[in-house]
Amino acid sequence: MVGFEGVVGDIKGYYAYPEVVSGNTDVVIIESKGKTPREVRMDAELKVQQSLDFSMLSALLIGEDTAKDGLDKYLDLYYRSPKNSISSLLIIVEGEVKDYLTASKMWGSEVGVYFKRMIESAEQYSIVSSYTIQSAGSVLYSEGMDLALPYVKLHKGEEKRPEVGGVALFSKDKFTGRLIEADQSPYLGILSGKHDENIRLSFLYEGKNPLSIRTLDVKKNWKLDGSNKIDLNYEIELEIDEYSEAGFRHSDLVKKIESFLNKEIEDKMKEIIKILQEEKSDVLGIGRFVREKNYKMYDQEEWQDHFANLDINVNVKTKILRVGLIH
Amino acid sequence: MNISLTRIQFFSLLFSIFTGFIYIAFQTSVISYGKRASWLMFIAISVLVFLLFIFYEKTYKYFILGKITSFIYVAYWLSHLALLVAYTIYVISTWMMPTTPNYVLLLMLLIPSLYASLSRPETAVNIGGIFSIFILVFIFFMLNASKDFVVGNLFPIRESGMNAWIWGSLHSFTAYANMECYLLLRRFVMKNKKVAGWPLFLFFWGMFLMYFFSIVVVMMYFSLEEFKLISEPILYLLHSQEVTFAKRLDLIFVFIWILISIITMINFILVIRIVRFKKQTKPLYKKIEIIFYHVLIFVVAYFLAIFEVIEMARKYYWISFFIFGVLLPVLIIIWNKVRGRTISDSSN
Repeated sequence: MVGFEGVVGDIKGYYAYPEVVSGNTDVVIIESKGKTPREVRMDAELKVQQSLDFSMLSALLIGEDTAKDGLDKYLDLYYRSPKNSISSLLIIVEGEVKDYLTASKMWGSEVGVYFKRMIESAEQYSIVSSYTIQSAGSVLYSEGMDLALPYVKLHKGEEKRPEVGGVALFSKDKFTGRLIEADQSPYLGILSGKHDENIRLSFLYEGKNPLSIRTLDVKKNWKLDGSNKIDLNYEIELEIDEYSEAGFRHSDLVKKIESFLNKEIEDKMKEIIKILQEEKSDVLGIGRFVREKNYKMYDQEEWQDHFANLDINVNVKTKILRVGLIH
Repeated sequence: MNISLTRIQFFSLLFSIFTGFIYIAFQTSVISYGKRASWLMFIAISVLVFLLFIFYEKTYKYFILGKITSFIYVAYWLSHLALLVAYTIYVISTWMMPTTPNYVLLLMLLIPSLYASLSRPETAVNIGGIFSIFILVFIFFMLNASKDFVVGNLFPIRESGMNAWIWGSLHSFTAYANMECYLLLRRFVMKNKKVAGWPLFLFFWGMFLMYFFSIVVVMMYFSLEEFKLISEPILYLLHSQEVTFAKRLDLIFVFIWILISIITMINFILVIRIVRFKKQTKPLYKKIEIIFYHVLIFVVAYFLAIFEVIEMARKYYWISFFIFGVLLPVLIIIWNKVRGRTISDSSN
């Protein structure tokens, strides 16, 4: 696994390097520095007994300051060379990168695999979307969409355990410094329409009853209305995962819960849209949609500003299809 | 030289000559110039090329090469081959063997080709048969990336203006360079084997589907801007795929592609042999000439395998379709038709 922080001219790199010490494999963390990502790597090469092999790279941790400087120039080295694994995951981390490598050492020698599994597991529940070096590059170079990379932070307690903190929002190739927190990010999953199942959401129905749902299908229907208005319509089919009060057989209750969910989910999604517009971060790919529907309305250079001023309406219609084993 | 081909042998030879070297690369220039409507341009150009195939099927009997035209074509095929071999070793050194000297890579390609070319023509003819299986494997693994396809990348087609249509269409012809080989090899198909009609239709549109599939898949996988950076999109797509049995899937396919390139080279040399060697040509003379061709390709390709030349070839490769695949053959056909000269068909 590799991690780096700093900006061009003064970059620090960290390489988790398995080394055999007295018959046991131990992960050694190599620190290096340099003006460019390549120089950082060359500096690291001076500190290992055999050349570093990046074909097995599983995760790339990137410091916030680096991400804010624009990812493009830091990823080029990994994106260009055929020897690198371009299916390694990209992760933005809070604070010092080295702390994450050190903290994750306690979970075995395969530090990179630990982070990879952590992100993949968070993705299963639509907390984040994982991006590889290749797929992130594809979004960076594409038109009408910004990146939303997994954001990891260290648990503040005694045990410094890495935890998924949410989604780091980008505007063009720069990290805006703002997150969609982990409790909000499943709604981002619904908004993007990418995660069509297994999104779990919890509420307090009527302020007291625990109510949890799991999405079965999300149907996205976006409509462009004039040059500055867009309607984001969603039909969500779901299953009730948790509801302590009996009485689903009364059809009224299902309808009531549906309209409750419509409003709750819609409100949360509107909050997210507000954040995205404030940060000029089109992680939903609304620009792509606009370009497809009316390419004259789309201007690559001005899109982020245009996006921030769009009149975006969100409409949610939920439908309960299943209620679980008991009703 | 006189050979006789079955219909399958004829089509597999053509298939290898058309798709061999360029299948992993032609998409970049078509899409870079044609933008979002590239796939549509490719359909339109393919319809035109199919009409040209029908025209050639009706007129191949008038395609007789004289001394000058034979010389022009042999010179063209040799320089063409040298350029394609240069491109092949450029790709191999970029993707697989960055520290291997170019002369070793050239020997790796040219020695098997020399061996097959010195053998009986049947060796070269039949070797193309295994080719199509490799292409199917390519297609299977490209579909592995389907979860990352963005259908929206194919639209809106109106975004491609007049300029994009002109240049995208011209670069689409790249896929069908070497049309003259159809005219040249057609006469060797056994008389009792029908080529016109359904067989030609199935061959052409089968080949079209393979090309079209590759264009659509890479367009859905990469953004338009990425084509400015990625010159071999199929290999890059495979490079980004994770499979359980190999860390670098792209390496397996570079190996397969090397094999495909060698087969294509053998087939090209066969075309040159057909034009150059007569029944009365002495076997020793034939061997010396084949060795000379390989030495020539070695020397020229060695100096051409640099970025600038490869980029220039990418930019202007489509021109060869018009000069050697259309203009010259049509002139030869008209000239011989006016004079009333036809070839005598192979008989079996």
